[in-house]
Amino acid sequence: MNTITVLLLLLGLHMAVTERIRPAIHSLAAQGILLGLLPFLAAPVPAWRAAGLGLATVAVKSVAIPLILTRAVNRLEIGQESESLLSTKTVILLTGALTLSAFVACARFGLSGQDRLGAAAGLTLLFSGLLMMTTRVKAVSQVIGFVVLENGIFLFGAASGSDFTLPIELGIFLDLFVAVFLMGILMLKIQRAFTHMDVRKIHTLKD
Amino acid sequence: MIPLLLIAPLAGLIMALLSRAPWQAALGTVLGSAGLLSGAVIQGVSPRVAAWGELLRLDELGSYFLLIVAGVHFLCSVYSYGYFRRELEGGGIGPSKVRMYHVWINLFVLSMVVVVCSHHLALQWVAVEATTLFSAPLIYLHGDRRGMEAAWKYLLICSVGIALAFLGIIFLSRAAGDVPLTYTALPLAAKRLDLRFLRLAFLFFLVGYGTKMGLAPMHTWLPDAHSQAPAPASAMLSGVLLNCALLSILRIAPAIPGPYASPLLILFGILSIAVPALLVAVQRDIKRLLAFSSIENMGIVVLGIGFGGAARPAALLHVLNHSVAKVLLFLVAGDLILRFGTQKIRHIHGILRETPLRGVLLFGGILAITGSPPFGAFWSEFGILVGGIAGGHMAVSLAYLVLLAILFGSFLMYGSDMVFGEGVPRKLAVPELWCLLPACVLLLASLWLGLHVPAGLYKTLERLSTVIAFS
Repeated sequence: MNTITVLLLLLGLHMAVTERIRPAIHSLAAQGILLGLLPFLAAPVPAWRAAGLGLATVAVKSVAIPLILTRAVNRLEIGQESESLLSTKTVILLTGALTLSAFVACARFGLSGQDRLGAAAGLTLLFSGLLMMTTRVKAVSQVIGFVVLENGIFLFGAASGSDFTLPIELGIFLDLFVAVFLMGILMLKIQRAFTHMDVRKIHTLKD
Repeated sequence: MIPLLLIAPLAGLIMALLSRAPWQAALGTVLGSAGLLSGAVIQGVSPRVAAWGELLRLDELGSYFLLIVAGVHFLCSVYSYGYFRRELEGGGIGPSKVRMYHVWINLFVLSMVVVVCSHHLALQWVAVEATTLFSAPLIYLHGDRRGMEAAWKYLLICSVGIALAFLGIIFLSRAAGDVPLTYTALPLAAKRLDLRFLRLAFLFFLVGYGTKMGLAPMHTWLPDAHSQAPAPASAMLSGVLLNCALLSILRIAPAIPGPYASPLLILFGILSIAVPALLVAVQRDIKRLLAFSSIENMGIVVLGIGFGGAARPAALLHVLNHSVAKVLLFLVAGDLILRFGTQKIRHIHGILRETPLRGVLLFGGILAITGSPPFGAFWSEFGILVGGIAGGHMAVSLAYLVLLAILFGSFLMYGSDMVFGEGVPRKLAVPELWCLLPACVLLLASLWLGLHVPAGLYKTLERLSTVIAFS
């Protein structure tokens, strides 16, 4: 459990600082597989339920979503660079600060041991996902940020031992899948209409 | 009863998928919405709890919100037939897109029905996220750049907001321990839940669902999305979708200690009235103007809930009044935009001289939305003010009154320019009956709610306000 959490965290940090899009998508897929292992290790749930959840996680997070993103990258013929509004140095410093604050916040809340590590790693992923969404200028990177954020919440939930019934958890996966699917379609349409994917330049609507 | 409520939009969806011509899809939506409305009325007039499994359950509060959803959906689907017929004639849209409109609007309504019927808070979350996903295609239906930009912002900002609300659910489940996350079980166990996690949960609910509700400062996506969608979809987004997000916050209220929740609600409420009051004066686009007014009205409702006491039933009444008046305005605005070929306010004028009925509808709608007598919103806004003063929130109540006056002034300025100004001679289009009829119904409803608040309705709302009281 701890190993998986640490690996998830490292992959998240890789995505937060990397400037290339394809390796980021690969890290995202790897995170999906690791998250798929969580139900087997975390709560004492029946094996069939763990298998169902694990399979759903892997299918959505490490197969479907990376496929959609890779397709978008190929179709859009965008450059490999995932430009950020901030310099790499600033991003590394900020990510470090966010990681630290996540751990401090979890310690302040009196979580202990394994719980604390999982919750803190989850919060870190959430923060770095938000950071990616707000500072990256390419739409694909923003979607990656969104999925990282979702992964963080998923890990946080697993560490907190939240447990919903199966239809609800499948509903959560379905929502995430449809969200990324729609974002993928919109990316293609925006590319065709604006002939670029730089969200800095998409601001015709304002007051 | 609940299966019928789910089947009605599903039937509309299937007809839209199978249809060959736009009118067949429209007919499906009208029939589906009529089925939904009759189900909601049957459920609403004889208050009882309908349950289906452990996940869905329809109580009185849910029925109230369901009635608003079903009523607005019915009127909008009648309207959308006329609206898209006009747009097809004008060549602004193709038949396949009209069909897609009917597919997505039925899915959208289905997800809203699940929101109001959800018994489990996590299922409710799934349904609220689904409303975002199903309404995003409506926003970029026309496929132009502005629509795409609005839809992109809407998807990203609301998805993040909803993700934060999910964090709230995780905190809630942490606080609840082995108490199921249903809105009947949580209040019963409220006293022995972990207070720290409960407070965190409420904070994240308020920020997360508040984003979806368009509360300032998380409102930035709302004017874009609501101004770019086709008029009947804008009406649904403003008139009922915002209510669904509100209901999600109300469902958790009985488990949250009042002294913690009320100041937060008052803060977000007054902020959401102040931001539109400042921005409305510089609007040039009629639909953005209406969108800002939705932010304001959600602020008024949240403020009323935060005030507590007599303000709470008034806030629930305002939910209905806002839906009636705002849907009316969006429907009239859609008709005017088709007629004048622009959304720019300064290009729309002299309506009364050209077609008196449209002028009356628009001006009546503007009076209704700003809470002027004799329209319904006057009573609910007045009730919230009285509740605020009685609750000892003098400063906030005063600020509320001043901000409402500013908004009233701005709206009256725009309204009189558009309605009474000099008419520009143009080719008169025949008034589209299907467009104007639903708007007339709404204007009369608003007037009726203003001249005489039905005693039964008010009693029900008073009872409901004890259901959503903080523990």
